[in-house]
Amino acid sequence: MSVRPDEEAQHEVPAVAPPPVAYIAAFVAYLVLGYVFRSVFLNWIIGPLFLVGSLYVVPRLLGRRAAEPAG
Amino acid sequence: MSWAAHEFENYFLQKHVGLKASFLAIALGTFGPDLFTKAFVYSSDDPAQFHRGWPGVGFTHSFIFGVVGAAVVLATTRSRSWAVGILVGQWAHVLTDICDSAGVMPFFPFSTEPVTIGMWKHAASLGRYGDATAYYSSLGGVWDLFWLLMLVLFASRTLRPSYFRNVVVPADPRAWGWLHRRLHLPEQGLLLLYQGFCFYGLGRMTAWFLRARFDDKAPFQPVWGGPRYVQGNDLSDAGSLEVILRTSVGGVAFALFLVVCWRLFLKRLWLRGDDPPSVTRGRGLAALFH
Repeated sequence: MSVRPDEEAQHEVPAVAPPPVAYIAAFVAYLVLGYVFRSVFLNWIIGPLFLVGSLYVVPRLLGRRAAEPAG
Repeated sequence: MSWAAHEFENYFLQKHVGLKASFLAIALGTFGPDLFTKAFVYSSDDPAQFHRGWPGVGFTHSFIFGVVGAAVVLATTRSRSWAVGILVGQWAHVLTDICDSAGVMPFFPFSTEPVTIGMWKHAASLGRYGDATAYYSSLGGVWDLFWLLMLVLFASRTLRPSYFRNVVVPADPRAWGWLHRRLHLPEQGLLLLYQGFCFYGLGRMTAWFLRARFDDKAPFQPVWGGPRYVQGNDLSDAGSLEVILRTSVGGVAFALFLVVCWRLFLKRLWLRGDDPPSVTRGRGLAALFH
């Protein structure tokens, strides 16, 4: 079964994607890091994983750390 | 060689295969020709010959390499979605790389004549950074931009969460499920992983272009056969007629070879393969595209 655009619209799901501003921030960060540290960031491994790292893994780790009781 | 075009065309292909191929397999297929060889290309004595020629690893940029890869995947995993994805992705890579001056041997081993339209110069002899600078100083950068526009104009819906949930995951529930369990990624994380290839393409295209302009200060020469500051490195001095003739003969031989392979074992592999529950295939091209 092929999903056509009209069928796809019927199955529109609640937004699971981060807000557009988060994508823009991640893009600017990647651009700056890629420009300065090209061998580290402009490659086939870090490049495709950067988005999930910056918009999911890092915020989750920071959130977990903030939720830990102080002291 | 093409750079970010290989990332953008994944989504364009995804739009046309719909549920009938795994996106992850398409991505692996488009990475495939360079995956194990690119690191050695820049350190070889004759990078263009090594990368695209024979003797060399030029066979990775031939249609038969995609057929072998798809057949191996089909035989070992029985997944038709993965076999189709590998095939379509690898063939797209081969066709895309026809544009640079080194060209590809699409019908290897039946023809080892490189096919090229010489839109920009293959510049691997300048090393990785020099190659990137030359590419983004030529029509190569414009080629990336063209594929980005194709993606935005005709396939932007493939980047939406609803498309990911309703098409991309059902086309390959095993692999996405495995990633979900092994990496502890919820749907949002998997979506970002899926969108990450486009993000990477856009990011590296922009970063390399900016570096070429402001750091290396290379002249921007988006003219046919540019950039002019790079030496020509054509792999063959054959004339157009000779190339067309040899390639046509190679193409016919390759087509016959495919028919024989299909009858001998590929059909059997295909028939014992399986599909995810949401996929039904037609016959002929309808088995691959929707």
